Amino acid sequence: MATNPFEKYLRNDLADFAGLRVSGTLPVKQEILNDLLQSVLSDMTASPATTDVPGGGASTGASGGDFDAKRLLKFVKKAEIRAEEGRLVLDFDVNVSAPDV
Amino acid sequence: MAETTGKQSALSRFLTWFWERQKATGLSDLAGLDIALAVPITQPVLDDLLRDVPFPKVIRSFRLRFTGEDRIMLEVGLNLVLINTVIRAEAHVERYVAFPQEPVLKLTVLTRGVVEMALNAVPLPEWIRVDGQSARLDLGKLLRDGGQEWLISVLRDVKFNVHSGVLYLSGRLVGPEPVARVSSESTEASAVMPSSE
Repeated sequence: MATNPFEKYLRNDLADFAGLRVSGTLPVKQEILNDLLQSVLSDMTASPATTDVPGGGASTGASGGDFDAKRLLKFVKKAEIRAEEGRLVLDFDVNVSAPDV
Repeated sequence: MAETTGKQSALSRFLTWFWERQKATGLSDLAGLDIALAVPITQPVLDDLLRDVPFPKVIRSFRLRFTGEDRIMLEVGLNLVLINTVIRAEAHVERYVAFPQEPVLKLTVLTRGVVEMALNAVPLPEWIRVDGQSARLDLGKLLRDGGQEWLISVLRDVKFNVHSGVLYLSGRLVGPEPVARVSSESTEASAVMPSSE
């Protein structure tokens, strides 16, 4: 199968998506957040390659080991978190501006 | 550095797991989701998207090019016994696609004559229908065949704007309506069922 093209776009700093804008509201249930925290904490204390994925499933490799979330942070123009009952709500604005020439 | 790599690996695997979970459960974790999208799709990205789409054997190649204001060029490479040619037809794109009721991109074929007749005769894949000058790209079928059926129910206000070399896709991703809780936890006014009165 072909590699995930998203990795290619990330390595290219999303240059193929100059002008992309994604903004809105993303609710996050507390159990999902806890699963994420557990996964990250497990990874910090164990070998990076052997951490279980929440839900018991094996990693599909679709995201690949090259995925670097920090590369996306520079495109985040706004991120605010507020708490509601049983969940966090993330208000965000992601904007991929045209590359400097 | 090693620790940083470990954290990213965990996040990557979590996102994969989360993505699969949402597809399997009908976005049950995303009640209240409301995201506005404006996505430029350049020619290389579209080529990537179309690369894995299956076509009948008679079609050697299939390409869409963004040629101008609401205009695209369909290029269909044929692999017939005696004919090895490329059909090129320009079409006007209707901007609005009625997700989720009718997730179909409608086109008007502008190129007339032999090309128009050929487009009507070529065995195109099921998600493309050409009837005279009217053409329909069934995005719903394309998404279902690609295992992305979940997108159909959450996409709203989808609009295509074609310019030379790039297509702009805009719209909204809207999660399922919040469901009233039945557990012992208390509820909040914001989590009530939508009014049907």
